[in-house]
Amino acid sequence: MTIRVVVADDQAPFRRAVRMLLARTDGFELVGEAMSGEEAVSLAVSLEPDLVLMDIRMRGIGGIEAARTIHHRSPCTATVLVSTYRAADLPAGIHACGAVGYLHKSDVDAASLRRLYAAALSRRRGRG
Amino acid sequence: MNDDQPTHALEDLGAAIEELAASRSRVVRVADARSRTIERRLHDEVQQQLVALAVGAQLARDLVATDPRAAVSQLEQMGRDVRCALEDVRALAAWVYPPLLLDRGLVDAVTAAASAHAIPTRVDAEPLGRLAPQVEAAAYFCCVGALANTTRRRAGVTRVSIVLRLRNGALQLEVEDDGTVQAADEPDDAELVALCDRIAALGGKVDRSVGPTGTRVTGRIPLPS
Repeated sequence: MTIRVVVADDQAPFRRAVRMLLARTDGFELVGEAMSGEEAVSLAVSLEPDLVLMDIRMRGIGGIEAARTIHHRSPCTATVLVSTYRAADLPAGIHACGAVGYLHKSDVDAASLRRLYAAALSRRRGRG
Repeated sequence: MNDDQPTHALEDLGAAIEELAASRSRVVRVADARSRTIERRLHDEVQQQLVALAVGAQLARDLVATDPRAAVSQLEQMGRDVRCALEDVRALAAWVYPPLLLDRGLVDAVTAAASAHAIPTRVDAEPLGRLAPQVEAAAYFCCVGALANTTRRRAGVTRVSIVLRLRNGALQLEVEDDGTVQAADEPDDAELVALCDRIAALGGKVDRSVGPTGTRVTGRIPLPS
């Protein structure tokens, strides 16, 4: 099974790194890139990806609000929040926005994404 | 003697105190804005490049076993990315405080900024020697700010000239261009106000005159005794 991914970040270096990572890793397909929370919501609703890698700090509605909207409007999409914040500095609201997890950007790799996606799937099956 | 004189003197003093308070408040706001800009540039530029390198390093590690050729290509890309990150750090450090200003003084630093400017810029400077660091910094940032405005806030600029000289115990500076002002931008020229405040804090003054043939920013900073 291929995990279809959208990456949402207004920073080009991270989007490029994710593009490179997914292109060279079996089992993933990058289906879209967004540069704002609004764009991420729009892509999530239209493409229904399996996973959205969402930067917390973006212009406009920001990653947390975008994750909350995606959770409601595209419930089969799992959102993983990413940032360069230390865990202790994460903003309030991160636990209640429907995201399946948080990764420091420097820890993003195929294994972490698989683990978080599997956890999201099993949580969804548990609810179903 | 005119009876109104003491009243006028008091009014003038009151106005000067109000202006001083407003100026101090602007100086603090400008310092805060500069700190926020530094934070944003560290986050948006340097940190993101380091993050991308960290992700790339993990990818290279995974590729070594499965696809060594791809791992080499990945490491080469990372080498290029490191050089970009280094250049961005250098540019940010130079923006915060140019090493040339620190090491070689005002004339060299302004000349380097003029050489890097998009519009041909001539620097006409007397040998100034080294001045007090606060005078050099205020004059440098005033020149560079006025220089930046020649591309940001003016149209049709084809040449810029900068003059630096010592007169009557003060450093005089002049930045002149031959463009026209984009009127819509004028009310937002907060940077010019900030430059004026910086120089006013040293007892100096900045003026700007706008004419049909160009804009001229002049400044005077007294040298500390």
